[in-house]
Amino acid sequence: MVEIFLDNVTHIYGKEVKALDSTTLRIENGSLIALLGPSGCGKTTTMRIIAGLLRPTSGRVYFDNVDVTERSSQERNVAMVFQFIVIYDKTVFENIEFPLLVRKVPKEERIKRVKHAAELMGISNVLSQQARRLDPGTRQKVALARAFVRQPTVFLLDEPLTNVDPQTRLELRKIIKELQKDLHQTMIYVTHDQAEALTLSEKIAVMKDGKMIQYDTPEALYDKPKNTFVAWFIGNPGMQFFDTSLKQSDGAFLLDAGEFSVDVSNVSGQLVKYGNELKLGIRPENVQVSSQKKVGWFNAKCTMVERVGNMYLLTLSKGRLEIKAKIKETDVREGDTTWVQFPSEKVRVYTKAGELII
Amino acid sequence: MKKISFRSKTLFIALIPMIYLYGLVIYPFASVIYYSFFSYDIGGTPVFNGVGNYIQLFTDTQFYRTLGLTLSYSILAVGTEFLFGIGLAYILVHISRGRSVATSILILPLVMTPAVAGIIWRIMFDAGFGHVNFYLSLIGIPGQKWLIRPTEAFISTVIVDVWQWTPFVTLVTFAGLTTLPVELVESAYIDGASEFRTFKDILLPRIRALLYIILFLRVIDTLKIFDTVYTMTGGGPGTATTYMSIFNYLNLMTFYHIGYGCTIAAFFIVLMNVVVTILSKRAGAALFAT
Amino acid sequence: MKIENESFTTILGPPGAGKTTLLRLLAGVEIPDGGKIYFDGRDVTDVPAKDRNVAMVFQSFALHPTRKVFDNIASPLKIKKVPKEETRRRVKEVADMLGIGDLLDRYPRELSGGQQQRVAIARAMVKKANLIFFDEPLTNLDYKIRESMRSELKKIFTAQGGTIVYATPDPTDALSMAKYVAVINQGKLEQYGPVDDVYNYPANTFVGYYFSFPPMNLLEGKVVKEKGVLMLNSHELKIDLSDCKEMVKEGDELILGLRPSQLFKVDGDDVVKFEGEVIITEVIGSETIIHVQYNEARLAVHVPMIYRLLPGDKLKIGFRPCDAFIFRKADGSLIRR
Repeated sequence: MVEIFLDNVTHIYGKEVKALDSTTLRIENGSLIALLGPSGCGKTTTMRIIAGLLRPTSGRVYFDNVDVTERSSQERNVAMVFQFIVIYDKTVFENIEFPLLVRKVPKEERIKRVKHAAELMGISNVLSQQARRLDPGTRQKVALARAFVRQPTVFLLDEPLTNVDPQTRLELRKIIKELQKDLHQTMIYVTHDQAEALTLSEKIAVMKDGKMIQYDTPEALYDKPKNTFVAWFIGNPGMQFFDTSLKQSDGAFLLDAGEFSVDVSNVSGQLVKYGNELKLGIRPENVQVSSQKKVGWFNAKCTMVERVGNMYLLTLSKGRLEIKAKIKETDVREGDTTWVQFPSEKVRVYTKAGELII
Repeated sequence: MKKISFRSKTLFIALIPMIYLYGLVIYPFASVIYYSFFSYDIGGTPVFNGVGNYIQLFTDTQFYRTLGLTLSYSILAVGTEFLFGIGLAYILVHISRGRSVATSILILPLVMTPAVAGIIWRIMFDAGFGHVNFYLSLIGIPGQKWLIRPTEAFISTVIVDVWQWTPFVTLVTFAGLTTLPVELVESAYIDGASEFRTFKDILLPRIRALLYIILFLRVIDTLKIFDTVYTMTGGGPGTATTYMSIFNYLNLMTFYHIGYGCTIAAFFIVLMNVVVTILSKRAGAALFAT
Repeated sequence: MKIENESFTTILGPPGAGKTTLLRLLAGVEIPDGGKIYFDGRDVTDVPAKDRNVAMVFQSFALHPTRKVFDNIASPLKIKKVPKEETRRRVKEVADMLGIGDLLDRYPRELSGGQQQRVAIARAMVKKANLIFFDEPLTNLDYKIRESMRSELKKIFTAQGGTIVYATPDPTDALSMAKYVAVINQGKLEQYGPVDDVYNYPANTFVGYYFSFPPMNLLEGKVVKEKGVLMLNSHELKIDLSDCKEMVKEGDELILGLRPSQLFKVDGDDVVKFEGEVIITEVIGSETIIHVQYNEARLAVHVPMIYRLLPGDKLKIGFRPCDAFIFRKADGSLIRR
């Protein structure tokens, strides 16, 4: 139940590998946040620094305004659950009991706390069994119980559900959510799977190449992604982009992608100072498609229809450009001509470098 | 030849050394069993004796003394090797520099020929001029009659075995420990366990199967011990260090009781078989549980 | 099972179902204990892999770590002793097609997971084999890369041609890329056919459940008679069974299958409506799956946008009886769709 503050933390492995670059992050007391990003973005390094497994090359770590950078994991009282399910060669009960045993907690209290933790995880019925013989899902529950039983300052979860069967995954997500809610437990979840991050966390820190790009609520990340990377990373599939030039024609301001243009007259004032070359972004699920001609819409030919889960992903070609549209039901077939529109409130404009303008 | 495939052909070729080895083992083995039922001293002719040799064996007090000595030797040596061996492995795990130097030094006793080791230690254990008594005197302990008195001789053979094979226990245990996932140690660290506790309660149990295998190998080896002891003490003084293999050898090659020698050998084979079966079942069970 | 020429077939099944075994048998790495395998009418059951003119892409990429990317891709050609000039040309061609043309000089360890997988695919394609096998090639990749690889793979194969057999435990792979699907469970072929056919007419509960994303909701129910009409009663949801009355009788135990994507905002006069209590909301990118509790049953509801509800909220659900699947409980077989 702790607020965590990372102040300008940089970490370099060996001599050259800069895993973390001047990252500053404040995690509110009692919140569940996710560190999200592709492999190698620095999320695991960040977590290990918070855990105390790693001393940062530079920068400080604070728990509730106390500098803990030099303190061990034990002293910080953090709990960590790994992707690789860690189980000791003992019974389930002894596994959960271990951290309390080490801290010399009196027997009666130990038994009480272990039983409580086991009940929370739904594993009270296997307490006397050898933990190593159970299936991965149950084993991870034991690991979670063991982490929980210590009443830690912060729970660190490193992609813990990757090696677990889908049924248990759902159960564990529910348990994690409840733990956090009922106990105001500060939790940090590391993952490369946006579904986990979007489902569980209140805020997500999207990272890339050692830098924290945007730290925001899932809604904000989805609606107003700060740069093209975040916009592309969040969403299935993510946002698509077109290179455009800002042009003026008959008094109206247009973003011209070559094969089509979008009217941006009402925000032209904000755009002009960023130069002529801008990027236009729109999410495939926001692209409007119709088989009938509509005023103001442009036409494109459908070159591929892909089924994506329960929806359809259409690839629409116009000239050299390809537009992807995601819709629930369609009678559009490959080869058909369709009419396309980008609703203006869903369009996002980015600088050439990828930063959000509007 | 419908199902002959690339894989089957390779299997056939792999069988050839098996057949060869089997032939080389079965024939001598069969001979030993055969002659164990005969009264046969060198120079004479084999006379069928039924179980006469076996009765002689089981009423031979020297046989029981040998059996007792061998078992004591095995228990003492293996016990000490495990204690020191795992202790050294603990140290190896916790030093970061000098590990390769330490490993190279540890290997030295292992690579020495057992017979040569026996000879060297005989010199070292010499009561008058040996190195052991010399260094003991430097720290104020009076010299012992190492190879002269029975108990001291027994102890000295155990010391040599421990000297030579503790590194084996250490290095194999260490190798096993390196295969363990680092998250195991990290989790224990985060849980607050001390280094010693992590080693004892978390890491060692994980390599239980490997430890059983080391135990298994060492017990077999010590029961069969011959080279080092024979060159160091010859089985003496008297019969103070006459272990099973030496007893067998003396009867066969020194006294030339071929028949009786074979009987001892046959018994020994059966004994070893029983021990191996029991121990390998336990090792297998531990392995399976992992 | 007969796999059509020039088609993309997916072998779909849970871990341990036998997908890898099937691929290995087809590739010639293993010999079946019974039965025969024919390629274009030719009996290849005893023909070793190297003579079958097939290529395989593995889940673990299986690249040679000490050889450069170029040599990795070129290795099948080197084995066939193809002249140097032609090798160079073909490798470049395939590498460009997969977008790794400028990585030829690197070593596999310098590449990302997605790039490594492309090298593995390039190596399989350079042989110009008629038959390419894929053994869960995307499983070891990051989520986002998996997403983009799916579209790319589909594009490449429509352009390239050839017969492709692709093993995967993920139904979305089959739905997005394949023309045909073979659903396997515990070594048995449950159903084989064009993707749309198998999707719309699953032969049994396993196929219905597994070949669906998220998995189909299966609810238990019994046949009852109300006002002389045979109805299926499942957790107080009632469906008229008049159109299949010769197949069921009163008291039969049946299973009702409802697709998560057909439960949200469904319009129609015949919609069976009910309300569920939210257990948890799963946001998976741009879509949502809401897990609800209704009486003793748990259902997953697919919503095609981001739609957050809190545990305990109520969600209105409805389905059209014509969208429901009805299976026999005893053997799981489909009665009606």
